Amino acid sequence: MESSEKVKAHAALAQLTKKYGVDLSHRINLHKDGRTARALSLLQGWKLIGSTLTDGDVPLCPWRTRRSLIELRNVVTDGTLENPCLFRFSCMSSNSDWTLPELMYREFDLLEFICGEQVASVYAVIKGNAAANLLLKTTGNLLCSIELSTQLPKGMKPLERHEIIAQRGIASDLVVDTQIQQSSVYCLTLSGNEEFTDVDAELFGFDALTQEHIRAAFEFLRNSASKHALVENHKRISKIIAAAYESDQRRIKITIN
Amino acid sequence: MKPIQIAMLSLDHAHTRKYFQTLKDNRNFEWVAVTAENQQIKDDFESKGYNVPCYLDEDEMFKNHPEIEAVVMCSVNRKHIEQFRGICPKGIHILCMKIPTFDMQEYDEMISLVSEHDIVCQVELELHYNPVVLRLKKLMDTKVLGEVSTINGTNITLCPVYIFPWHWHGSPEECYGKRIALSPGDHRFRGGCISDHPHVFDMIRWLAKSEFDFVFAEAGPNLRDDLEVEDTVLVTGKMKNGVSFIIDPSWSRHERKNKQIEPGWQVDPKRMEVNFTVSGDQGVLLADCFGPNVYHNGIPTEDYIVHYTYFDEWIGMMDEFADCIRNKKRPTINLQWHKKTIEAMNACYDSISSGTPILL
Repeated sequence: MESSEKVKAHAALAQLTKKYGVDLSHRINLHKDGRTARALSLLQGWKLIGSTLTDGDVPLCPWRTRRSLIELRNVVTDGTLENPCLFRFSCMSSNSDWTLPELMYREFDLLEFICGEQVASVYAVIKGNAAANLLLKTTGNLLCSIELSTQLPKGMKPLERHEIIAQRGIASDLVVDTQIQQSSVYCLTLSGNEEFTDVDAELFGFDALTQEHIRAAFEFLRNSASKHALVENHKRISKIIAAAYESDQRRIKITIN
Repeated sequence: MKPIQIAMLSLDHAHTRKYFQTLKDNRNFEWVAVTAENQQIKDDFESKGYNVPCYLDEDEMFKNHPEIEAVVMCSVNRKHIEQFRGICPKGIHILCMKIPTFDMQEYDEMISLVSEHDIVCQVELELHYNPVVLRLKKLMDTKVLGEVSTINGTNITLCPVYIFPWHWHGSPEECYGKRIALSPGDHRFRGGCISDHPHVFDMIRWLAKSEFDFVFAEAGPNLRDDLEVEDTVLVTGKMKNGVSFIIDPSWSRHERKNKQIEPGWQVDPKRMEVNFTVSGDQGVLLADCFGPNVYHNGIPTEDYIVHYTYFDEWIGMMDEFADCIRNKKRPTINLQWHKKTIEAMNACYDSISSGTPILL
């Protein structure tokens, strides 16, 4: 992120905290290269893969603030879908933006977030940093496939699919009978075509990744008791990533203890 | 081309109805007779008004119609071997439904019978004649994606077992040929969604231009409590050329337990999906083999549904069958080609049972 964007992100977070009367007694840092002993570093969790966490580090899962993903979780937890059985996740991105372990971090966390269970086992087939295919089972014996690729052309937004199939009902964040996400606005002009999907009026204008990061940082500050849970979650997700690579190397299914 | 005198051997298979119109329309064929397994199926067929003689006994049909040159074998999987044994010595050509048999000894016997009696035997894998698949194959052949890393495919549908007369799809014996537990301690048996969906396994081989190296499969909990066969399965692994894959052959679209295919049968908006996602070092390709479609929420349920607009695969497939018979050619999808798909499907069952990947 450019430094001017970093300044804007900090300013937007400060504005939110002020608007909602959230106490900002800490010095806040939103970026990995800004970690200091005196600052509370509210970082995107995947950026801490392989790092030793300091006391000030809070590994956030920004996707958990996305309304579509929250509602997917809600239809599972409130019983709208009865007895989920199968989860079909996919995320493709450019390797200029994401690595496979980073995509794993995101999708593993999303699986646990949406289904409300922990990953119990993983079997992975990984192709370098290009693609990974994973089959996971949860503690409740739900079955999940996760398809990951970093081979989208540079500059493309990630393509995602999160589909849940239950004994009664299915749910997905993709429109039925489509293969990629739709946008809210299509601007087709002689100067070219543009698409927009704006989901947060308070953080209008930020790209989706930054917007979710700021929103997740704000939600943490509103409820700082979640730090321990986020740190423990980070450790477990990191463990599942390591298990996926071990599974690929040894060609066995790995049970997560 | 002189039309081929063709009969349908049984009306049990879920694809049977696809042939009714095809055999009527295709001028390369003259549809002379059918057999039905019982009076109820015979009555149902005759009510459709095709005006083709329907027999309850195969021998009687062949006796009354010595002109029969070829059959579409639409019987349950378990019966195929006996029918091969009876038909091949007559020199009658066979278009066999997608699972000749899961028993590899029987499979080899079928290959021998076909070879010994010099007949044409084509396996019904109609996706090879689907226009989207043809485009996908053409793009991949031009290496538009560079070096391919992974090919992921779905073949997900409703469960056919509640539809008359397809109940055999829920029978381990009729579908898989024998009753084998899915895994130790599991109350389910082989013969469910994996057995129903060879297409996606076949397509991965065809698109990757390579054979399966190993497969790892897991069965999820069943969506339907009353089935004794599997209905959710996911498969991953690698081809011998290093291309990895995920295959989803699940019966993961919901249906009402109607006895006929009719409006209101499907519950989910989209009742069937065959999609491919291919990732390579030059980019990514996404393909939906059935569309574009139309959408409505009309009678009888007022559910929002995808109304399909496809089904021309059978034209190309039957054209090839006719060409092979009249011009003594070998079908693209012959028993030898298909054997490796059946072996991979069996390996998936072995993987579910053992909890380990299976080398092929």
